[in-house]
Amino acid sequence: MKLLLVEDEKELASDISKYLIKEGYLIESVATYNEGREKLLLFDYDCALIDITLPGGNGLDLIRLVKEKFLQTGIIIISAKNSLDDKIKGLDIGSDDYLTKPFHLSELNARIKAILRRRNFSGNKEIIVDEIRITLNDNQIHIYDKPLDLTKKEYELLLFFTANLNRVITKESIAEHLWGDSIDSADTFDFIYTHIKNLRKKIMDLGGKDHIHTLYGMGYKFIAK
Amino acid sequence: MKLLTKTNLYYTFFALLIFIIGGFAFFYIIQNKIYEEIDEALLARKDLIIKQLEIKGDGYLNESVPGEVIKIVKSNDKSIMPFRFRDTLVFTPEQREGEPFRCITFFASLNRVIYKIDILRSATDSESLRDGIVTSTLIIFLLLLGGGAILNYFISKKIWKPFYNVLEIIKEYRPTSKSVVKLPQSSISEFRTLNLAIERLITIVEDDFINLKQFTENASHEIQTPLAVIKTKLEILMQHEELNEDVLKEILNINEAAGRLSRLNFALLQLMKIENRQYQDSEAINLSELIESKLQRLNELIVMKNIKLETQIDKNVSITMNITLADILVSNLLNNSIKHNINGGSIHITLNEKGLLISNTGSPLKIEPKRLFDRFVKESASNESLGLGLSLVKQICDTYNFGVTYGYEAGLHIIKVQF
Repeated sequence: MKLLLVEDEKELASDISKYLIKEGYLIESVATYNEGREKLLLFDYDCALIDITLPGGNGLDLIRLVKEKFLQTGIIIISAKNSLDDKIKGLDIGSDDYLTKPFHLSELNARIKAILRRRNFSGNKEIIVDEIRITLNDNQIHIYDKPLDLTKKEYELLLFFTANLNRVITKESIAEHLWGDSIDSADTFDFIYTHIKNLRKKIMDLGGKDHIHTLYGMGYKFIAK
Repeated sequence: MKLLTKTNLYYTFFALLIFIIGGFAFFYIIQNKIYEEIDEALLARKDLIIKQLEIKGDGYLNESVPGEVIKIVKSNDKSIMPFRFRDTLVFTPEQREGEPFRCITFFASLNRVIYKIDILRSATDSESLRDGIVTSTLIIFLLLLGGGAILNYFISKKIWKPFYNVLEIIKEYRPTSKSVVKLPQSSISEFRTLNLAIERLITIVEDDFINLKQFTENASHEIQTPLAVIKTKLEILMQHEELNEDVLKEILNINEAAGRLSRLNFALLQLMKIENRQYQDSEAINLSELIESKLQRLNELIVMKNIKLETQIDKNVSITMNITLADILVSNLLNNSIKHNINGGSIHITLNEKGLLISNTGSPLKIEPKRLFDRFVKESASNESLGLGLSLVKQICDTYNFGVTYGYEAGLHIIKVQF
C-alpha cells in the first residue's frame, strides 16, 4: 500500500510517517503544494493525506487534481481548521474523510484502513487477527468459527483495536472514535471501561484469548501476534 | 426625545417666559399712559373750574360734563395742598362692583369760603385692559408655537433628512468584509463632514475587523499545529516498549492537558467568531430533525447513565440560522443535560415553534445561577469541563435575539430558549 503525505509541518509529517511505516505502508512525504502536485502527477497512490494550508497553494486544489486523474486514490484531509464549511467543501470535491488537527495517530490509522478497505473492491473484505475473523460485508465476527454477538459500539471498538494492533491507545482517542467530538471525552471514560470489559468477556467466553491489556487504567493495547 | 422636540421645548419655555414678562410690562406701560392722559385732562378741568368759579360764581358748578362727577364740600381745612390724585371706585345702583374712577381733589375759595372739590372721571377698566392684553399675547404665542411646529416639521423633513438617513444606515451596519456602505449626499457642510468622518471610521473598522478575523484564525491555526505536534509526539512516545508505569502516566497526563488546551483554543475561537458575527450564512434549519439525530448519537450515554428520556418534539420545527451555530447550540444543551445529570435521572425535552425547553435532574448549582452563562464559570474545579459551553449558548442566542433563561425547580435544571 502506497501513501502520500502532503504536510508542511516537518515534525508532524515525520511522526505520521513513523507511525504509518510500522503499519507496513510505503509512505512518501512532501511539504509543499508543488511537490505534492508533482508526486500526484507522476505516481499512483492508494491514499493521500493532504493538509489544506500549504506553502505555494491550497490543498483543495490537489484534491481536485487527484479526482481528475486517479479516481482510485483515497483522500483524507488533515487540517488545523475545524470548520464545518471546509469539511463540507472538502467532502464535496471528493475527499473521503476530514481530520482536524490535533488528531490521534491511532484515529488516522483507523481511517486510512477504512478507506483502503472501501477502495479495495477485489479482495474479500475480511480482517483476521489471530482467532478473530471479521467479515466486513455483513459485520459478522467469528472466534474459532463460532459467531460472536456484539453491540454496535463493541463492534466499532473491536475494529478500532484491530486497526491499531499492539499499539498503546489512549482512552481519549477511543472516546473520540466512538462518540466523535460531540461530547467531552472525559464523560465517556466510564462507558469505555464498560464496553472494553464486555468485549473482552465476550471474546474470552467463546474461548478467545485475552487480547486487551489495560495500561494502568489510562490506555489500552490490543495484543496480537 | 428627538433633537427637534428638545429644541422646540426649550424654545417654547423661553418664549413663554418672554411672553409673561412682556405681557406684564405691556400692561403696566399701557395703564400708566392711560392714567397720564386722564390726569392731564383732570388738571385742565381743575384749572378751568377755578377760573370759571372766579368769573361766574358757584352757579357754574352745576354745569357738568358727561362721564364726569363733581363733588363739592365746604371745608375748613386751610391746608395749602394744591391738589391730589387718587384711584377710587364708584358704586352705581345697577352695578354691584364699583367702577374704577380717577379722582382729583383740590380746594377753591369762593366768597371767602373754602370748598373741597373732587372731580371724578371714569378710568379705563384695568381688568378689561389686562384681559385684552392676555388674550392678544396668548394668540400671538399660539401662532408662534403653531408656526414653530410647522417650521420644525419642514426642517426635519427636509434639512435633517440626510442625517436621519445616515442614522438608519449606521444602525443597520455590521462589520463584514462583504458590506459596502453608501451614505446619502448632502448639501449641508456639517452633514458632509459627518459622512466623511463616518466613512473614514467604517474603513478603519472594516480593516480592523478583517485583521482581527485573520488574526484569530491564524492564531488558532498556529496554536493547533504545535499542539498537533505535541500530541503525535506523545503518541509515538507511548508506543515504546520499555516505558515504566510512571513515565507512561506522565505522558498520558501531558497528552490530556494538550487535548484540553486544544479544545479550549477551539471553543474560544468559536466564541470569538460568533461575537464578530462571522457566522453569517443563514438557512432554514429543521431543528426537530437536528435534535432527534443528536439524541440518537447520545442515546448510548443516556442509556448507560440510566436516564429516562422524555421528548415532546413537534415535527418540522424550522428556524433560520447558521447551521454551525445551530449544531453548537443543540449539542451543548443536550450534552449538558447528560453531563450534569445523576444516575437514574431524567431529561425532558420540549420543542415547538415558540422555543426549546430542556429540563434535567441534577444536584443544585453551587454557583450563582446568573453567573452560569459567564465564561469559565463551572460547577467544579474539575479539569474536564471547559466552562465555555453555556457561554457559547448565550452568545448564539444573543446573536439571534433568542431569550435564554435558567431555572432550578423541584430538583430540575431548566434551560429555556425562546425563539
